[in-house]
Amino acid sequence: MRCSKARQLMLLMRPGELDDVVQRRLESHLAGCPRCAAEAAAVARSMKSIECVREQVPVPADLSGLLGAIMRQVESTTPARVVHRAFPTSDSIAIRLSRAACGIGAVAIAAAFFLMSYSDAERMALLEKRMQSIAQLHSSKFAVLDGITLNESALSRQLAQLSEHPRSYASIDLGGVLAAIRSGSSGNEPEMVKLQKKYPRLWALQLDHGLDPETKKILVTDGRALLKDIQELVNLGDR
Amino acid sequence: MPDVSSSEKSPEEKRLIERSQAGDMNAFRTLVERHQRYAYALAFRIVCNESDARDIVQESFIRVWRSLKAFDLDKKFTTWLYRIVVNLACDCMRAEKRKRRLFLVTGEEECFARENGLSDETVCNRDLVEHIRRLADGLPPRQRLVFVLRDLQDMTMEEVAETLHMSMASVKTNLCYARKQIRKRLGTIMD
Repeated sequence: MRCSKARQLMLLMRPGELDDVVQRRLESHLAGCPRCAAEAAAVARSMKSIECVREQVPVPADLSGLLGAIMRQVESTTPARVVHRAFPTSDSIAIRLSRAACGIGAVAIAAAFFLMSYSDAERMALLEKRMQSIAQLHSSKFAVLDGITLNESALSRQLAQLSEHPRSYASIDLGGVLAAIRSGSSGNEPEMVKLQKKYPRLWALQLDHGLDPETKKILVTDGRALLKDIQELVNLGDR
Repeated sequence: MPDVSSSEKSPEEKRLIERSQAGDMNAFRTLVERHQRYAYALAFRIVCNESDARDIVQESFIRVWRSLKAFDLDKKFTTWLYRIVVNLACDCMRAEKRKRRLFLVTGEEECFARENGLSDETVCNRDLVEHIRRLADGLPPRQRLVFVLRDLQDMTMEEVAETLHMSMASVKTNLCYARKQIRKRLGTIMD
């Protein structure tokens, strides 16, 4: 084993990080290489410092209050159960049957939509349509899309939501976020190139949407973080 | 800290989730009680702020409640919960970074920190915050997350990979880089 490899591997010496064969080879190298052995000792000292920090468990100031707050909010968002009679017995059989048919039809459509996985072309068409309705980001750093105003934190929340619910991919303003990133970043990063190759038409659309300098100043710093989210979302959407 | 994260889902926990899915508030309350400490520790170690960590945990469990019906019982509940916590914590960090940039004039950053409760930690947590910051400040976001989850929260490599939606190779790479930077930083401090 070369010293360069050993120095990489010695950074992964916590249990379970290296497989047994590699672990033995590393130990064998360290036994015969004083310089690497000294470096491994220094790494072990840093890991000891980290272990001390790990052992300090954050003390929650008020956890019982937290539980109460969670349950209150949960209870307030849960609607009271209301029992409706779906088919009032006074209705004629024809009416009841037609209601049942409508219900089944609606469920079937919803199920088809739910199960449908968007092909790349469909996603592109959907995003293109949404992109066309995006206004330029205003100096107040809001994007207006389909009559809904989104600010930066709302976009971030949407990204967070999307990572939890991949099926809601199509409803997220992905185009708006990508436009913000594209305008704010250098375009030379490897991830950007990958995204560019994957969605060339979407990329071309974004070039039409400019941003005022004030907005760019703020968004450029978040470009990388948002881009990484987008990359993950793209991966999720492809599953 | 008890390693709740790595315990296989027990039949009891599965029943709790099922009952919660059916709308049983008491079952959900028990779920929250079981997992809130770990979730809080995770959030705190990422954002290094008590009130933000509380808000993150609260919002995480609200989202869990809202989406619980769609949760697949064959999946690990903790992985799902921690993923939500991590995502919200990342959002919080990004929002903080944005706010700080609005106060770029020298001297205003301190005022910003005071006014926004960044010095509100309890006495013992303040030291912990300092230690975490000493180790993790300056790390790129992904490396920081991998480091916090693996080395501070003590998750297994598999749990880190699942929580962050990363491959094992990517986890190892990011962990290597993070530890290398930390080793350099600690070496400088010790020298």
